[in-house]
Order: sequence, then structure tokens, then C-alpha cells
Amino acid sequence: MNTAMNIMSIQHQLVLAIGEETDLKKMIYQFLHLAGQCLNATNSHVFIMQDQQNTPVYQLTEEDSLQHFLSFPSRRDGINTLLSQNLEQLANQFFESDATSGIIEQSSGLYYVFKLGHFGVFIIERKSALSREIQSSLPPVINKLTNSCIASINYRTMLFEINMRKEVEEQIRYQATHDDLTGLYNRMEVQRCLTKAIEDTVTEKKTGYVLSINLMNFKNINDAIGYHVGDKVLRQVADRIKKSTDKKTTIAIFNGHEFILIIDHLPANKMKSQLIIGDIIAEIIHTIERPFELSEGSFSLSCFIGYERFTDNKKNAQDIIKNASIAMYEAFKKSKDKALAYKSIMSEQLNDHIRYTKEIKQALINNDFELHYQPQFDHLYNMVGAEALLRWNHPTRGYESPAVYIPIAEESDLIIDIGNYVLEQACRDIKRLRQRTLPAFFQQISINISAKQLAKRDFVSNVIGMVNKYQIPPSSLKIEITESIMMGNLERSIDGLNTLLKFGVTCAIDDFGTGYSSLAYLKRIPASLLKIDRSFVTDIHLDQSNKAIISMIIQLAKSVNMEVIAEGVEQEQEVSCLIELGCYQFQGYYFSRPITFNDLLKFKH
Amino acid sequence: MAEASIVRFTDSSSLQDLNTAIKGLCQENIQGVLLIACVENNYLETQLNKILFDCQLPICGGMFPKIIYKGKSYQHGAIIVGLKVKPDIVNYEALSQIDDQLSDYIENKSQPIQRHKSFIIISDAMCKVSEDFVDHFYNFMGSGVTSIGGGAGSLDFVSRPVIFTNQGIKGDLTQVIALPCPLINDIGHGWDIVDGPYLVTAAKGHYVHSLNYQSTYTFYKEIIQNKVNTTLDDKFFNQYAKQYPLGIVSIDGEILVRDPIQTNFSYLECVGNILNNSMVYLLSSDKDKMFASSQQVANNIAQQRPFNNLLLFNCISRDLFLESDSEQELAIIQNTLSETPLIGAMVLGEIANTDNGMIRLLNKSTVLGVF
Repeated sequence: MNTAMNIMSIQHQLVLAIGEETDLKKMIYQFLHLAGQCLNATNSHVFIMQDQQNTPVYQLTEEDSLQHFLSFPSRRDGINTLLSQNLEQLANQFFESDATSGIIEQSSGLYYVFKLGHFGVFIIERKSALSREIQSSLPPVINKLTNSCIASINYRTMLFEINMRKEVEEQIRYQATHDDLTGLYNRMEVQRCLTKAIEDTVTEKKTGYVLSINLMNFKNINDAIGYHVGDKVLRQVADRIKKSTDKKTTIAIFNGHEFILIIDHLPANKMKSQLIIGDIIAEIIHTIERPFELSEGSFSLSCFIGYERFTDNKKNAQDIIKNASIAMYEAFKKSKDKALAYKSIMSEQLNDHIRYTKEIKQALINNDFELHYQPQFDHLYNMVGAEALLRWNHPTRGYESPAVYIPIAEESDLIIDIGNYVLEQACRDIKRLRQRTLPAFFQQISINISAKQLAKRDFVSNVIGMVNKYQIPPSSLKIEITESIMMGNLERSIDGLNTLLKFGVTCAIDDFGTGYSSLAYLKRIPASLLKIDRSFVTDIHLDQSNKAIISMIIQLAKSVNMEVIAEGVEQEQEVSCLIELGCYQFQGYYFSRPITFNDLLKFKH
Repeated sequence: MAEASIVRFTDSSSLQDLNTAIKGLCQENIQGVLLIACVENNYLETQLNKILFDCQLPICGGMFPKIIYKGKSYQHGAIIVGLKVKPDIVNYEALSQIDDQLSDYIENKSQPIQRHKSFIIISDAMCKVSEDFVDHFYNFMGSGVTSIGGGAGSLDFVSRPVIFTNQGIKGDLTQVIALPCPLINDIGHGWDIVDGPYLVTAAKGHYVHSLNYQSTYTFYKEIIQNKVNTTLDDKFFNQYAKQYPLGIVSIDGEILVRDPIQTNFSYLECVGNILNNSMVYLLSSDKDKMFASSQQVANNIAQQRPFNNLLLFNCISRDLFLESDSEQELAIIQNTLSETPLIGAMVLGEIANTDNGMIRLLNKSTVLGVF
């Protein structure tokens, strides 16, 4: 009776030790620990099939193998249980056999081995034999252990899948709210954060600021060195901004390199909060202007910052961000202050700007643009060509200054449309000119090409197409580029200009001497003419340094087989001086102001 | 075996005497100090700590209800053992606050002593996780290690700092003294089954709530009434619990005594865990059986001669049970092993390896170690 009760007690204790524990390791530890106590085991072990990631499995594949999972105690005679004997071999041999349980006698003791389903082995080591009754009482316990292992493995798999799903969801949520490159918030998320910050500010009667930071010169890094370097710099900028601001500051990135910061919980007192924000802005400017040392080189950036204060919920998040951006744009445009607070007049100016842009667009549709021509002469006063100059004859305001509308057009893609207009109109006019009798020395009409036009992939085909369309000799058209527009994708621009040269359209470098391009590039640009900027020409006969510069430009042109023409010639003395220096072509009021096409037709006659 | 330690003894409760003895020993060629002191010395903690801080050698040990020196027990005094072998001491502190991380904590703290195979373990008897500590410690150190030890504290079961460390006297702590020499132990108790088995139908840790589906207190009272053929009142516990402990019997017949020490008239609190679904028995003994058991332990140890150091951890409840005959039990051991002074303590729960090698918390037992 007592033996029966004792066996039942052992069974129940072991089953209870397995319990409801879901963690496989904990469950098996409890079981092995109790096996030591109840069965007087010296050591006990569990081996379980595991996949290549050492994760226990019970549904087997070919890659899975039986591996040691846990022993109690974990060591024997001071060393790891597995190393102390060939236990793994014993477990594997038994696992491969058909038996479900067995006894293996070795010099070190008796090994009672039991299969855990088709996926594991349980081993009890004892000094002496277990009674037959105890042995026969163990299989139900082993079955329970087997089922609990399966449940635990299933639970773990389920937990793993749930965690995986959570991770994926978290990743999707992260991707939806963050910028991939910098890990900062994106536009959507910063708007959400700002909406919350506005609410908090109103509730807490505090003040908040939105800063819009735009990096200057950043595009040059991307264009000249490559996006991989630009990305590195951008990540460093993000890190530096993070380090220079409070951890609570919300930081986002828009449009590639415009940063938005939300700084809230500031004192309601405007003067106090302005002082704090002033310090933060100064720190950000300082941190961005420190050179970025990369393996590719050292890079310097600067930034402009616009900011807008919020104390109530009269403006929504979108408006506040927009205002900060307007202030930033204004700071950039004026380039006087690195940071500007938003003022409503900025929006008015911006609206004017937008309205003006619309008018330019309308002017193109209404054909309000026209080309005027400034003739070019040689030293014998022969007209050798003319430069086409764009004029906007506004229906109500009359002629607009190009100095106003060209920069505005350049900010948008309108400059492309305008450039196309100029190209086509010039070709059309050349055709009309050629239908008349041209002066003997008249060579060509030149047109100005903007940086954006030159950068367009279809620029060359457009020019060739237009020349072909109007059936004019390619040599009757010259394109004028400035040094600075070559700074973008230099190789592609040179290739394009070479193609045009082969076709017969020549190239001039306009405003020479004012750009900042390396003189080393000059030889590579397939230009046939250098146009000396008017700033060197004015009063050249009185200014020795300008005389020296022009002399140098002429020498330079000769060395690369280019002709020179002086722009802005207004006095006879200037002409004499230029001839003396070796310049034999001129353009300027001394010879002729820009004139309409009809006047040009008359002029040559 | 280790070289014989230098042993100093004082039967005074004076801290000054203790200090003098420690300082004197430290002048000798020793590697560490093992202090075995009586809790009733009531040392002033601040002064005691100063002595411990000042000790330049590794210091260890504990305060117990009684100490044993040359086969006699003392309620006051101290034994100062100058160890000739260098002890590696690990103090596992704030054990009751560690909870789920106990296993990891023990594993991390035990790294410096993992090459050792001989351990003296002294635990704060009032720390409820002492037995869990022993389990995890055994799991980490593995089979093939030898341990002796016991619980420090006092019979009033009030929690107080009772373990000596170089950082002062501390509680809620288990101290492991790793010895770089072989340690041999033997255990015995002399308790036999007189009734049972009873099924433990509700238990948690040290607390047994129900036996055979009845309130443990009521059931325990009934079975003792049957044994003594007397109707007992509710004061029976203090008189009979020390005579009738519970016992857990292993499948190889080894009896693990579980000593009931307190009751709330519903559950019994034992020194050591009792598991749900386990079978327990009612045990009893008498002085002859106890003496015989101690004699057997001494005889077994005698076969291990030669040795230089004898260290006894004897359960305080044996002393309470044997009363004036307790000294005779100590004399039996000392006389059998007369060439070596018997030192040790009457402890609250003993620690030693059982037959299968597991380190277990024992009750009402004699644990004798030699090194």
C-alpha cells in the first residue's frame, strides 16, 4: 500500500513540476531538479531536436539534429556535463534505436533513458538500480513531459510569430513616420507632433516654436561628389542637430534637406522664450557650419533658418510649418541674417512672387515675350552678329526688367519654357534674316542658355531639332553659356556642347571673368568665343587693373584658340584701348543698343 | 588534507577578547579567519564592524545559538579559526530581494570559485530563499562537489545580521567559503519512521497547509495524540514538535527530516521546503538512537584519517531534544576523533550532500566535515 502511494506521490510530484510553465527551459529545469530529489538521480539530462538556429523543434526536417538541451546539475566534477563523458553519443545511439526506454550500464553508473516522442531523449543517472515499480510508473510522466514540451515549443513558435508580426508592424509604422536615411520624423509625423504640441501649449499656457532649417551648398555635394557622400553628410547634420537640442525636441526632415524642429514647453513670456530660441538657433548654426570630415574629404555647409512662434491654436500645424519655411526662404533670399522670424509681410511678398510667376506663365501663352537684338561689330565697324535678348512687353506695365523676371523664372521650370521660346524665336528670326541679303561679315545670332536648360537631357536634340525645323545653317546660331552653369554635371554638358559643335552650332562663354570655374576646365569646353564681362570693359582706358585682366583674358583665349568679344562697350576710348590689347569684336551702346527684329532688319540695310 | 588550522577559543562575550584573538591570529602564518560565535554574545554591531573592517585577511563565519569547542557546547563565546589554506569567500547578498534572477545571480557570483570542489556554506537561517540558493548553487557547481554548512541565527527566529564578512556583519545573505583542499563529510540523524505516510495535499515553501486533505495542525495533533495516548491541548506543539518531526523518504530509503518549528494553528512551518504531492512520515527518536547515529558518523569519518580539521554542524533541535545529554553526543564524536579538536556550531538547519550528491538543507541532523 505504502509503495503504491509512494509511486503515485512521485508521479504527481514530477507531473506537478512540469506544471503549466510555458518556457521550455524553465519547465525542464524544474522537472530535472525534482527528478534529482524524487528519483535520487545524480545527474539528469534532456536532449531535444533543434534546428540550425538551435531552436527546439518536434516536427523534424533533415537539417534538424539531436542536441543537448539541459542537465541538472549543469556540471559534473567541475566541468560541463557534456564534456565529462560521451553523453551525446549515448543519447544519439538511443534516439536512433527503436526502443522507447532502456537502461544502459556504464562504469560511471546506470543510465535510464526515455524517448520524448520522436524529438528528444530524457536521461536519468543513478548510482543504483530503480525498482521495477518505479520504472513502470515513469512512462506516463514521460508522456506528460513530452506533451508539455510540444505545447511549450508551440507556444514559443506562436510567441515568436506574434513578436515577428509586432516587429513588422512596428517597422511599417516606423517607416510610415520616419525618414529612411536619417531616422528623423517625416512630414506626416511632424504635422501630427505639431498638432499635439499646439494642444499642449494651449493647455499649459506655454509657447512653442517651429524652426525650418535649409542647408546651403548641400546640393553641390550631391552633384559634384555623389549622393553617397551627400547621404553621409545629411546623417551627420541630423546627428549634430539632435545633439545640439534638447531630447524632447521633435526633429523632422522634408524635401531631402530641409529640417523642421518643434521646440515647445517654453515660457509664455515672449522675451524669455525668444532668448531661449535665439540660443538654440545660434547653436544649430554653429554646429552645422563646423566642417564635416569624411573619408571622401572635408565639407562645409551653412544654413538658413526661419521660425514661427505659436501660443494658441489659431493657426494649424500645416500653416505654422509653412510660415517657418517662408521665413527660411526669406532669410535665404536676403542672405543677410542666418535666421529670420516669420512676419506676415513675408507671406504677402511670397504671394506676390507666386502671382508674378503666374504672370510669366501667362505671358508665354499670350506671346508677350519678344526678342530684341544687340548687334556685334568688328574693329572695322562691320556687323558680325547679334545677341538675342529677351524682352517682356507686359500688357499693362510695359517692358519689364529682365533683372526681375529672369531670377524668378529661374527658380521654377519656367526658365526652360522661356529658353525654348528664345531658341525657337531666334531660329525663326535667323531664317527670316537669311531670306534677306546678309552683310558680308554677319556670322550668327547668339542666344543665352540657362543652367537648367543645359542640364536637360533633351537640350542638344532640342537645339538640333529647331535648327532643322527652320532649315537654317547650324553655324548661324551660337549659344552662350556662363562659366558657373558648367559647375553642375560638367561631363554631360561638355559632351552635349561637343555634339552641337560637330553639328555646327558654336558656343560662347558669356560674362567671362566673373565666374568661379577652374581655368583648367576652359580648355575642355568646346567654345569658340570668350565674351569679356562688361565690368572689366567699363573705363578700361582709365583702369590699369582692368586693362591687365583683359590682357590676360585675351592671352588666355589665344592659348586655347578662342576669339574674344568685349561686352558693354560705350566709349570710343574703350574701343581704342581694346584694339590695342588685341580685342577686335565689340558689343555695347557705343555701337548699338538692343533693337527690335524689325530694326535689326533695317539696321543691316 | 589541509594543514591544521590554528584555533583560538574564548567563552567570553567580550568584543575586546574577540578582537585580541583575531589580531593575535593574524600575526600567525594564516590565510583567512573563520569566526564561529554565539549569537547571545550580543556584540555591538558598530564595534564588531570596526573589527571586521580592520581585519586584513579574508574573514568569514557566522553567529549561532551555540558553538562547539573540543566536544563541548557554549552559549557564549567564540571560536576563531586561523585557516592555513586560503579561502575564496563569496557573499551572496540581499538574496530575498533577487526573486526571478536568483539563478543568474548565483551563476555570475560563483564564477570565481567554479574551479573549487569543497565548500563550507553558511546561510542566514531567517532568509526564506536559503534552500532555493542551495539548489541553484548545486546546479551551477554540479555533482562531484562536497559541502558542509548550516544556518546562522538565533532561536527567537528574529531576523538580524549574523554572517561575518570583511564588509561587516550582514543578514539576508549566504556565504560560501571555497576551500582549496579536499573536504569529506558524513551525515546522520537517528530519526525513524513511526507513522505515515501522509500525503501533502497543500504546501508552499516551508509551510505545510494540509496533510491527507486536513488542516496540518489538526492532523498533526491527532497523530501525536494517537502516539502518546493522551488528549492534547493547543499547547502541545512546543512540547511535542521537537520529538515528532516530519520526514521525507527517498526511493532509496534515505530519510530527510523536516522539523516543524512554528504553527498558526492551521499550517506548520518547517525548516526547509516540503513539496505538494510528496509523502511525509512521522518520525521519532531517542537519545540512544541519536547517540548511535552520531557514533556512526564519527566512525565513518574516522576511516578518512589522517585529517587535521574537524568541523561539526549539529542541529540546535538535537540539543533541545537531548537537553543535558546533548554534551554526551558531542563527547561521542570528540572521543572517537580525539586527536583533532572538534569545533563547530549548533545550527538552524544543516547543509550537506545527500546520497545522490545533491546539496540539501537538512534538519535535526549531524553534519561532520574534515579537511
